Amino acid sequence: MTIKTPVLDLENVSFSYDRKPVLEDINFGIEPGEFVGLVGPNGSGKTTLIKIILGLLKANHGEVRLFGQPLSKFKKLSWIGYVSQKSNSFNSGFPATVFEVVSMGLYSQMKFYKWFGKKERLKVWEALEKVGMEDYAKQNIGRLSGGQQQRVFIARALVRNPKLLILDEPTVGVDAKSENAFYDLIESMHKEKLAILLVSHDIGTITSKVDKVLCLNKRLHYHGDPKQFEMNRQEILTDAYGQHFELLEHHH
Amino acid sequence: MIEFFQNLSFMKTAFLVGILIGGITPLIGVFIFARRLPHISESLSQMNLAGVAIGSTIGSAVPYLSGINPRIYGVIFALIGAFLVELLRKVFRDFSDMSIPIILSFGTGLGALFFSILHGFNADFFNYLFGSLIAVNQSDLNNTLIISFIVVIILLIFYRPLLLITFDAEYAQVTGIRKKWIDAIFMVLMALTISVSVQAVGVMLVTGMMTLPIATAIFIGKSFKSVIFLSIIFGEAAVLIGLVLSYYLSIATGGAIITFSLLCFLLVIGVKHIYRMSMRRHIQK
Amino acid sequence: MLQDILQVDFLRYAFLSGIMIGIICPVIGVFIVLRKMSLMADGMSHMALSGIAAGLALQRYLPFLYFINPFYIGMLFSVLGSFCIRPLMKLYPFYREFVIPIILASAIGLSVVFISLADAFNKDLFGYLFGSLITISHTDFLVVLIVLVIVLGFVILCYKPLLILTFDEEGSLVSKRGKQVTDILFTMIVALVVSVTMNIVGVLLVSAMMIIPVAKGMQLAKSFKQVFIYSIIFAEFDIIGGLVVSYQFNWSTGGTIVVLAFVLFMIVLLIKKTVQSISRSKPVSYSSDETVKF
Ligand SMILES: Nc1ncnc2c1ncn2[C@@H]1O[C@H](COP(=O)(O)OP(=O)(O)OP(=O)(O)O)[C@@H](O)[C@H]1O
Ligand SMILES: [Mg+2]
Repeated sequence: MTIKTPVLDLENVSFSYDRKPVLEDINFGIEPGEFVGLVGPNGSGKTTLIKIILGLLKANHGEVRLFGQPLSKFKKLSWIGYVSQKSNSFNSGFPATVFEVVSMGLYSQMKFYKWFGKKERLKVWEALEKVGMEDYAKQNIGRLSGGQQQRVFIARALVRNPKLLILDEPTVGVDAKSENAFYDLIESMHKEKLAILLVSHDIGTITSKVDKVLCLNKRLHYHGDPKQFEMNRQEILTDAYGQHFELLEHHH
Repeated sequence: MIEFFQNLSFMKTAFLVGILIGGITPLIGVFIFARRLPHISESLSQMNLAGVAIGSTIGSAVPYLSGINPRIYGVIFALIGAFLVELLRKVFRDFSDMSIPIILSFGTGLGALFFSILHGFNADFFNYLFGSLIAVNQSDLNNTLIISFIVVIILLIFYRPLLLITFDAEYAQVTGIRKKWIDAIFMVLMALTISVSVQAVGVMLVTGMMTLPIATAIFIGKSFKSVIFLSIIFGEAAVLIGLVLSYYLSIATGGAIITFSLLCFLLVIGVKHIYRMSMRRHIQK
Repeated sequence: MLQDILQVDFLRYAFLSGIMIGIICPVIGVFIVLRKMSLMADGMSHMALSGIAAGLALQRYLPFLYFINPFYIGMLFSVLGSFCIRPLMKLYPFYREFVIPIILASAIGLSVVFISLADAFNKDLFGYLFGSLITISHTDFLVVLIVLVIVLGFVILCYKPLLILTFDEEGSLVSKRGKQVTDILFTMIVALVVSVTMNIVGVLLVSAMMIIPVAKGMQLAKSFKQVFIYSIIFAEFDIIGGLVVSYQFNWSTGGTIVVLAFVLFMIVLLIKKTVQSISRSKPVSYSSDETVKF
């Protein structure tokens, strides 16, 4: 594999739920080590796009390639770390400790007869340290705050040692201080040459940190350099978000 | 007491079967609980009743099929029940809770119907409904041993994917786990466990064995492993003490086991409640 | 058959009671289903069994209490059980659906203990569990009649509060107090219905009688009123058909009724699916899905 192979590559991807088109003709790529921000209004199809990339949904048209391989042939699933939107899919009453949750990140890589030994435990501790949650290892996951849970799920993604990290609105319901800490964490991972796809509503913060901005609403309304995006911001956003966008922005 | 030990050899089989069932039922029960499927286990056990009734009817009507153990029909019907529940939940998306009583009572109704066709409303049927651990024989023990072994082995092999799906199904799929397959395997595990546990606690009470020990353990355990461990302890205690109680008080075994479980459950809730109250008072001072 | 009904007392009572139950059950059942209380009804019927069992045990050990019919103790337990469900749900905020199996299992466990104590593992018990024609007496018939009047009276008088309770649980159209009162009344009526239905179809199958006809009605009906009408028609068909068949072949009454109801339910589903798929292939299809909702 050459260094140039893009981590992710979408070509003419379209998708619709039943008969309702959600994504039309999406084209973009992510290079190794690139930090990409994905913005767009509610219901614009961001989560749907991510689910297609992860193989949870199947595109109606077009092709998704991960590390140069088409999605159906791609087997190195451990290269991809995923933190879902507000983690609403997880079973919040489940009696599991933080340590157990992070361990689950390793489970799919292990054969059933492989003992969960010292090496694995060490990896879990490292991941917990990276997100600063090592003090909570013995706590029940359901009893943590939303922001703390989010960090645990990031640790669960990191413990697999991924090459592409996909985060769907990870800072929803996280206070300003933790949000800063979160972005510091993401930046440090970015420095370690991890490719990152980050979905967020926080347009200002995104554009100041990422290498590339995607602005989605059914179609990609913008795709490229954040500086360029900042310059034409008003235009692009009105285009993507509609005329009421100004109203939206004043809220923040 | 002396009498009890005299009967020990006779009780030995019962105890051994009890120990096996007291272990595997809560073990599967923890997953049922965490996956929010208690209703399915309920429906499975009732469909199991229907299967056994129909199997017995077929056995008596068609002589050359009489060699097939009705329990096998029980397992098959339990699996059909699981499928039907899922089907109905899809049909009534907004009122999916309705699908459970429907399948539940269909299983019970079918069982009652076929037992009445067989003129089988007799002591055996009561044992089937409410359990009769004391009446188990050597071949029951062998069956239980084999099926428990199979259940535990399958569970060990699929423990990690099962745990992942239970905790976060979407994430599990992202890591490459085939949810459909694991779900199907889990249904088979449930059907097998139910069909052996029926001997001890009866069709009507299997779900109790799969819920009450877990409901108790969940109040104490913090991690998944500790909940599994505690559930098994509570399950074993309920079966063994229930067995002794049922022997002395001549109560149907299933009733004794479940009532003892219920008492444990209420006790733990009570103690926890008092503990919390006293903690609060302590803090106020 | 018809002659038997006219001549044999218990059969006549059974049929008349059955016809009335065919009205009572779906009328209450509609509200149960729409309020998503199907499982609660199940829990209540199982609690009724433990009440009856407790009553039987009481009669054995305290014979001077003979005048207390186990039937009433069953009703009492059923109401008590329904009041246990909410506090228990608070204990398991994440796993509310877990509570019903606990109630079901505990209720049966207790029943078995009481039945053992009463030494009542006999033919009568099968009647309680799966229903029986023979147990229906003139008094039972009168009780069903009274319950029918109460239920219809309640639904007609409290129609508005019931609707609000059903469709607007959180809203503030009615005072909180008013809702609580209606809710408690409703629960007690359900216990009443459970207890009378039990005689014919048996404890274990009562909830089926309240839910399966409604499930069928909902598949076909296009308005709230139609749900009632269809459900009652289906319930009458299930009960009368089941009674006739079970009498002819000497099969378990409750079992026959419920299996008939379920088979019919599957047929209704199948017909609806086929009709839908036929109309789907035509262009105007979307509306058929929408109109089923009320
Ligand atoms: N399971 C589904 N079935 C049908 N339609 C769906 C489903 N999930 C999402 N949609 C629709 O698809 C569109 C895109 O949804 P998506 O969740 O991708 O939006 P999003 O950009 O992630 O929004 P948000 O910012 O709120 O997270 C929405 O209009 C939504 O209503
Ligand atoms: Mg989203």
